Amino acid sequence: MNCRGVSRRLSAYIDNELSPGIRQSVEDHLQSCAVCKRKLSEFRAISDAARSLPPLGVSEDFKDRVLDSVKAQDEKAIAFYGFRLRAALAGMAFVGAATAVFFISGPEPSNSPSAILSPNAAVKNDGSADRDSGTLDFTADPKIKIESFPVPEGAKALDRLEDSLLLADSSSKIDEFVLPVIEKTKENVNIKF
Amino acid sequence: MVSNSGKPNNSEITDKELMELIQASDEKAFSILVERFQDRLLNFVGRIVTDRETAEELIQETFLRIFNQRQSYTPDYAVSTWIYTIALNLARSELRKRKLRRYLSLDFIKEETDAEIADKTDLRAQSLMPIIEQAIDRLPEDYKTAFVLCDIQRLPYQQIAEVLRVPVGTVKSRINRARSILRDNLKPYKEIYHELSRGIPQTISLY
Repeated sequence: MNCRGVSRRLSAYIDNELSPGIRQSVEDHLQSCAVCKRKLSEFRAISDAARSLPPLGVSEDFKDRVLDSVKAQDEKAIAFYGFRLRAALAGMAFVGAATAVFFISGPEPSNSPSAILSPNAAVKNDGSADRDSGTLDFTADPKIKIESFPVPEGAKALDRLEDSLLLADSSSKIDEFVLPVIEKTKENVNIKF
Repeated sequence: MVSNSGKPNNSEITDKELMELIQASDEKAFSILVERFQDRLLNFVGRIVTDRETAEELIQETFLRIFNQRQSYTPDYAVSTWIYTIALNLARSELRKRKLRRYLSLDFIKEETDAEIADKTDLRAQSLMPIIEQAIDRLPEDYKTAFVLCDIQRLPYQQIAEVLRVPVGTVKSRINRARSILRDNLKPYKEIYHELSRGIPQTISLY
């Protein structure tokens, strides 16, 4: 091994980090080279000087400060997660309460007049819809009869005819032939309307 | 933190056993770990940042990170390797901040060479150690870190390689280069250099 190779391995030689074979080669060279031997001596001196530097020591309360800071951090974390937990629980409680209110007071029965009104339709105290302030939902069940709905004049006339026939003559012929026709006509009027 | 059953009273408990207890949030185990590593870390970080107060702050932050990241430790590496890596990252971060501050304040223009410092130094008023400390401090960061881990922390090359995350060959090269630079930088201090070359630095008093 030449001087350059030994010079590159001097530190590893000092620190016992060379394989036995390379170590032997370095030692062989050092026995015959005064320059490398001197360099080895200087490297050892520097290493020894660094190792003999007075050790630094932490201040007396250092450990307590570390443990306190960890505890303080834990408490902060607990407070933070506690707040998040409380907020989450409050949110869940609100949603639960809102759901309960919805199902308890809930939507009105589907055959009530307001059920077929659009949301912006006003409902009067007596249950009749104010046509000026809202629109009626004609897609709802056509069989639903709305009390306030205007009865066509034709239907009123049929009612009157039916009443007068029943008062005038209660014979079975009227029951058998006339009244079914009137009923059928009334149905047709209602469906058409 | 949770105080466990007081198992880790035994000072013979290994670092890995301590970490297992710390991973279970054992306060006593963490306290033992702090006691075990605080001086070693100060002698490592303190030699890198060369400011004791800052070094203590960095070590405190190191221990906080150890506790916060305790679940990320895996027993594939030595506990000390993991701890040194955390401390080194913090120290490097501090050095980067300082470097930036120095450049922003243009202080780097006023930097002196080792020879200029040696000329101004009153050797009669100084012992050898501060001069060596200054010389170590003036090493390039990579060389200084490897040198401190080797000669002050006395870690084997393999562990230094794991802490620095470089090959062992790189560690050998950096340590050799660091010692070579120190040898050259201490040459202006002729008396010290003379004594160093005799290999008895610890007994020197320059009066």
